[in-house]
Amino acid sequence: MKQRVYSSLKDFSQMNRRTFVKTVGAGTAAVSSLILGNSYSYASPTEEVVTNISDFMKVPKSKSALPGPFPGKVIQVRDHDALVEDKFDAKTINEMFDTGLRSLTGVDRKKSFDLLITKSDVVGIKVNPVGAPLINTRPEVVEAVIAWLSENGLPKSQIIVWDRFDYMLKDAGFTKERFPDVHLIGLQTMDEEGNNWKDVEGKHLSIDNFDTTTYYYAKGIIGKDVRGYKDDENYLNQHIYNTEYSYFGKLLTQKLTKIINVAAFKNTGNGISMATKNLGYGSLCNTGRLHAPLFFKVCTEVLAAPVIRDKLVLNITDALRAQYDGGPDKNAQFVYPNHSLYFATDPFALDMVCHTHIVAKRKEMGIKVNENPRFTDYLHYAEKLGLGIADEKKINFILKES
Amino acid sequence: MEEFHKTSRITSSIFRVVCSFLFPIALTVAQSSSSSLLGGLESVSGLKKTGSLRTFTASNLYGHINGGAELFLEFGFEELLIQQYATNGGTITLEVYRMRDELAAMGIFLMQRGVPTPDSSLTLHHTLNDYQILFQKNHYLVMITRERKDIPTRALFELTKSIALKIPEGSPQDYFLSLPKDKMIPHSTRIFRGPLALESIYSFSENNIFGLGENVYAVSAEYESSTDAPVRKIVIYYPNEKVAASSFACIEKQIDEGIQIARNADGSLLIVDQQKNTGVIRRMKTSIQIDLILR
Repeated sequence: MKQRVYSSLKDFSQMNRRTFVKTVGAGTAAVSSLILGNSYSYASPTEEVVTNISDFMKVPKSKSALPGPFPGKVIQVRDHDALVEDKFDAKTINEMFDTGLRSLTGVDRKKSFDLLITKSDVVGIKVNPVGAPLINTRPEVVEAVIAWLSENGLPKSQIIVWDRFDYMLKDAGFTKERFPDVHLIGLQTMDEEGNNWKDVEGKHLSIDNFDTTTYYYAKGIIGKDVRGYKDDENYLNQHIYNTEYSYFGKLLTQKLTKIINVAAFKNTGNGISMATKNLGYGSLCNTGRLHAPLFFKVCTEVLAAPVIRDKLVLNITDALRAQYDGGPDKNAQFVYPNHSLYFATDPFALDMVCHTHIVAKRKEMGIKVNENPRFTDYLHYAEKLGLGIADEKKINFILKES
Repeated sequence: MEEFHKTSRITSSIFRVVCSFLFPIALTVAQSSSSSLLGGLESVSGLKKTGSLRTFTASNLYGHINGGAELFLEFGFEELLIQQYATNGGTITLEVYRMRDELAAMGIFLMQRGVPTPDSSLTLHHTLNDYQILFQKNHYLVMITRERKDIPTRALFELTKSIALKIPEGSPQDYFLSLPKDKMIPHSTRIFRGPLALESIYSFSENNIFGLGENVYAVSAEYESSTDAPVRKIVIYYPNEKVAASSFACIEKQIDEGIQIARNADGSLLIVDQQKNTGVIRRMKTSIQIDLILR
């Protein structure tokens, strides 16, 4: 393709108001209205995708429902001893967990446990293993959570560390050797070669892991002709279904009674891939179709489903090592030691605080940040639904520094 | 003379027929050569393969890098090979991304590298930091990552040089030739082949408003200006005038509803958004040119 030499335009930045008007043609109604700040022409709004969010909202909230007992409250604990010369210090991380928990709840470890969990609960700890070994949820943080649960009488047989894909857990260090007494569960498997994901009946090996009675529905959005997927077979290998329905894992609908969300601190484009995305895209199948039309909105609406809304009791964002650009996969260029853990019962307030912090870091590092409201609208939407607090004026942020 | 022309025509025909056989073979060779890049790397001092080679194609890249796959797919991704090596008590992970073409590899490299910190001993397009060497050559993007900083840098370098030697030279182009060089801010160049990459700079619309894709790409750079904000210039190339005109005509209808837009007497478009960012969009024959001031 022949490239044209860039024609020299008058530097827009040098235009003052008079020059602006002269250049564009004074007197045109359009320009006058633009200068006066009146609207001239707007594109038609993109048609809203119909989902089953209203079904979720009809179900009365349980006692432990979002945003939890501390709406809008976010704690950041920072301790430089947590990560020294690339080595994570388990003892310091445990102390940070203790500080964070106490600061959030206002009571000690035992009373915090009683506030959020019971000994009969089956607790699922959702981790984010993507980006290993640089930017995934650290096993040391999960060990601190398990220690807290265990010392307060929750049997380890009732603790499940989970993610969407089984093999990713292992890659991120969540192995039987390191976690011998708890369960390590992936909602599904995905065959990397693409040849061995079906059983003798031609069904996906993991199809029975998903509950077809509990779903996120998006009308007209199906898993066909989704960019990046050669054909239906490839899509199904990864996503199991390709209909208008994304089914929740049976782990969530039939086994877990409480969820603790331990996300990693990283961006995805100009947004973030942290607390709400960890569960929004990690709890169900058939999500590839949702990216283009609904992306961040999924993070809110999926968390509104009672199967998450009523069970999610604690959110920790692991920012011991953080990544400010190039995410959500690891990008060593943008990884930095941040020595922090964030705590909240309210995942939307937590994400708003973390979004603000990552934007500040991106600007500090010279990145031109696109601050279009699109990248945080979903958090404000959550506030409208009564799921959490996103208005920064209402958020109670506390920094604890050692 | 007639005999000469007749001979030339016959020769030309034979040549075309031969090429029609050879080209698919060459393409197949290129496609299968990615795994051959990794052959013999164990002989690099101190490295030992651990685990098996993992391969990802466009259909399952999402399973490896989650939402990060979108950007690779947008630029044009074909295959990823991952191999881990053990060295001096630590692990080095090698990831070789084969992209559709050199433009795609360059585009994704510029998105991933940030402000580069190269090493003077390497002549590739690359950047080196505490954990990783990232480089681009021909239609490959290669990441070599050590899990800890105390794993010797020498091992990263040896691996880099070994793989780079195996990648064919390609036909490097200056994709930014058409952009003015005066006052260009260093390391600000970008390539866009879809709305996701473009959105890293600015959100014009939820839709692919400029029709970016396999046959329509954009180049961009930032420039110093006399105000407190630099100017971001973007040039979008279309295959022909008709497509360029059609794309320009749709801008007013598709632009984000938070952006005010007005038409200049000369046909260019002026935009202002809620954050007081401003821009001028002008149609040339087979391109659209945009000046943005992002505050």
